[in-house]
Amino acid sequence: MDTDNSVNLAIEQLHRQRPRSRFVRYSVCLMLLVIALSWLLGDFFTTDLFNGRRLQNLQRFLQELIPYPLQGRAFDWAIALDWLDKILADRGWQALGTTLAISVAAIVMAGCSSLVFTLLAARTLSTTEPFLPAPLGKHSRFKQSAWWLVVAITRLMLIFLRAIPEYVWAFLLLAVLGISAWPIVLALALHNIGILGKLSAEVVENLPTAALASLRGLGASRLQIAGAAIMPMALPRLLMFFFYRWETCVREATVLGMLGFVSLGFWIQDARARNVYDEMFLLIILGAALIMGGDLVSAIVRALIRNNR
Amino acid sequence: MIRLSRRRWVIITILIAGLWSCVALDLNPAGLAIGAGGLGLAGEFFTHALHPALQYESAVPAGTIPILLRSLQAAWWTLIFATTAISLAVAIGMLLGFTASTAWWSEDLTARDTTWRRIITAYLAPAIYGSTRILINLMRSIHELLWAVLLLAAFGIHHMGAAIAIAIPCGGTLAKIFAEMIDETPRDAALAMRDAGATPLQIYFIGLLPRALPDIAAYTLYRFECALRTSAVLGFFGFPTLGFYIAASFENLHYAEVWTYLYVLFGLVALVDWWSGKLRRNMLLWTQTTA
Amino acid sequence: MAANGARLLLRNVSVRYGALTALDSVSLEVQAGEAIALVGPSGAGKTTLLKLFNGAVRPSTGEVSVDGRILAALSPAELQQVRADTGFIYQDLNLIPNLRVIQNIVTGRFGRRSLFGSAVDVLLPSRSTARAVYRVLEQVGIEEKLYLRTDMLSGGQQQRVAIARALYQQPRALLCDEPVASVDPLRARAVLALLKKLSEDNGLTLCVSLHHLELAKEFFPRLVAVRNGRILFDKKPDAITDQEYTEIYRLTHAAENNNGEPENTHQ
Repeated sequence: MDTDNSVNLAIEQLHRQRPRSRFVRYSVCLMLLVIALSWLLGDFFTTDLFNGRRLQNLQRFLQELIPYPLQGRAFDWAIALDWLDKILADRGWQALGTTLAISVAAIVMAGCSSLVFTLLAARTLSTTEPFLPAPLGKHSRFKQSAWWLVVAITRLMLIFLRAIPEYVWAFLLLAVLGISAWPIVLALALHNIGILGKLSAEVVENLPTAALASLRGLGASRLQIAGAAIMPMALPRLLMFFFYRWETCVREATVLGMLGFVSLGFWIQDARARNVYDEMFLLIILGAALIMGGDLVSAIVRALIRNNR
Repeated sequence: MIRLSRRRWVIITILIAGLWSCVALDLNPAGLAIGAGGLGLAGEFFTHALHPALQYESAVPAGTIPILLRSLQAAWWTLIFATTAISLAVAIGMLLGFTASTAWWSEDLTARDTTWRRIITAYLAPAIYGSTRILINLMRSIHELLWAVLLLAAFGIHHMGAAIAIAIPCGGTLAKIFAEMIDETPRDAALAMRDAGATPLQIYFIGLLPRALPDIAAYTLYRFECALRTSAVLGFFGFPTLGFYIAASFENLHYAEVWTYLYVLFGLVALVDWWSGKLRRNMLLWTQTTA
Repeated sequence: MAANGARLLLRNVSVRYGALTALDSVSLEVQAGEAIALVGPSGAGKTTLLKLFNGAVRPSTGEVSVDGRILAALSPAELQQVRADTGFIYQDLNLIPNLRVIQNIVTGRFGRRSLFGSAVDVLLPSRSTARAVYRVLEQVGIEEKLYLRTDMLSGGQQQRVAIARALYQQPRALLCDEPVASVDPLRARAVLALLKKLSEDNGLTLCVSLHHLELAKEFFPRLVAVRNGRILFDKKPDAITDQEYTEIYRLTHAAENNNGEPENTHQ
């Protein structure tokens, strides 16, 4: 029909003029391309993925996951509990405690020291005239660029800290500082300073500025504003982030021991090296239980904080 | 009054826990200085941060590719494992995210009152929901590296194992977040669709999912950055990502090379960070950049 | 054209939510193709009454029927059909803000589409689908907004999108819940005129709930006043007595003023 055609033309015209973002479009294409290339070039489909040897290996592995005293006989609670109790008493409980302590020490350290970087990285505070829309009076170019540099360097450092994974930090620090809890805790703390610093700086930047500006107008120093106004206002959000990051700290703490410090990961690695897969599996499950417990505690505390705003 | 004291309690508890952990781990400032190499080694290592290697620090066999090229190659492999893993994880996340959400069977989005529907909402869906939640929690609470350890022990070293090791916990997390985001999406348009006779599945996939999509995409991008870091770490287990070269150079005491690889990793993560931030902003405001 | 419209009937219908009685033994008949206005203060039960007709609210007692078919006796599939035949325009519009206009409108016909078909409609609409949406948008006068993102439109345009979505459904009855509640008087007239014209052009039965008595008198040949879950009167506009008029006027305006200010103003 003729009218259909004219409508079709109008629709085509509207379709051509529809608003869209080139950037999103190209990004999606790029993503699909990289995904396709990854699957094609990543050697994921070599023929030996399911060859006989691998399958045999898998079968043996699955059998060895059964507690050793129970292998090849009927299940018996007494034997199973005995086996469990021995591993827990030998190293399980102690490893869990150490792992938990690592995560707590790391997050407290990160939380405290990230506060400093938060203040330096917040663009609203780290400037010649904090929280005021336009500078009062004249400021030298030098002063302005100095503040700009402070923010830039802090932010760059925060990005670097969080770009390097905890595990890599721990590997490097263990070799440099020797085996103790320090390198593990520092590694976790460094990475989390990077993340907490960024998230908290955003919180500070998004605070309503009226009260802060009036404080500044009264002549309060940056530190006074930070202590008297910024911290109390931002605290609930910062605590939320703190606990959210603590969850990931518990997660990471379960593996960092693999690098050599005696904690959960250490015993997992040890069991793996000795090919004692039943014990390895048990310890992995213990780690999972620890993580679930941490998630639960964190969720409860965050709910408490949220409901008390 | 209560508000203040409760928040204060939280902070006091945190500080006590911090003290306890320091005592339990025997963390005293003195211990920091007394290591195997002491502060000298630390100083040496960190001073190399200022001049990363542009060439290998020792003689290499003829035909070895230059270090910068090799670091880029390692970065490419890091990217390959991360993208493969994240695409698997999104598939897992979409699938389990569907079964872990309540929107497709919640009563107020269900218009048809058939016997089947009643059986589904009363028994089947809660059972699927509950078991998915348990599965998701198991997937999430075993660390990527431990999945890698398990898969290595089960299958031996294989690239697919590395991708799956990243994809399992990542997929579990995505499933949890997807389900929560879709369940928390405003339901007004969904109710309108129900009143016009749409089925719960139509409502789920067209009334709720597209609306949550910007948030879902933003979170997936964030998880991609995490996958990238884990992918680098998997090099420590023998896969050809950046971690492999970091470990190898470090063990040969080639600290300048280590810093080269660290800076490449930093560059890769920073690039993805910048790109995903720009993408996020563009997704929220795509009508403003009219093409 | 009136043959296309649906005949709506309530017989002694009560709706109770727990202890609260939203409607109390209401009987009402709307002929096919008729246009009526439900007037009354907010909270009187107008919305509940409208929702009875598309099955979104079920009566506690009494019966609701559409074209002589009692809703409670219908099978789920038949009820689905009734729903698909009834277009509902919500006070809050209930559109998906981050989808394009065309994508929002195609959701109107999902009651008649499979899951796959509706996904195609949203992602890759066929030419005929796009044409149908375009024609519906022409009827409400914003066809050039076809591919815009819905939340980028003005409030009035979004309301037209919501009307277009209900029209695209190819309904036999159009139910509108307070379409002009938050609209200035000039635009309110335009919207009501549009609804009247659309229902006349397409031969639809039209039920509109309003709390502007003057507007209702101006546009509708039949007014049903609802108060406290009961029908106060059901008349032609010129048959309303002065007493009835002041009664309902007082009620709606009291409600309106109460929305704006607390009851005990200290002046």
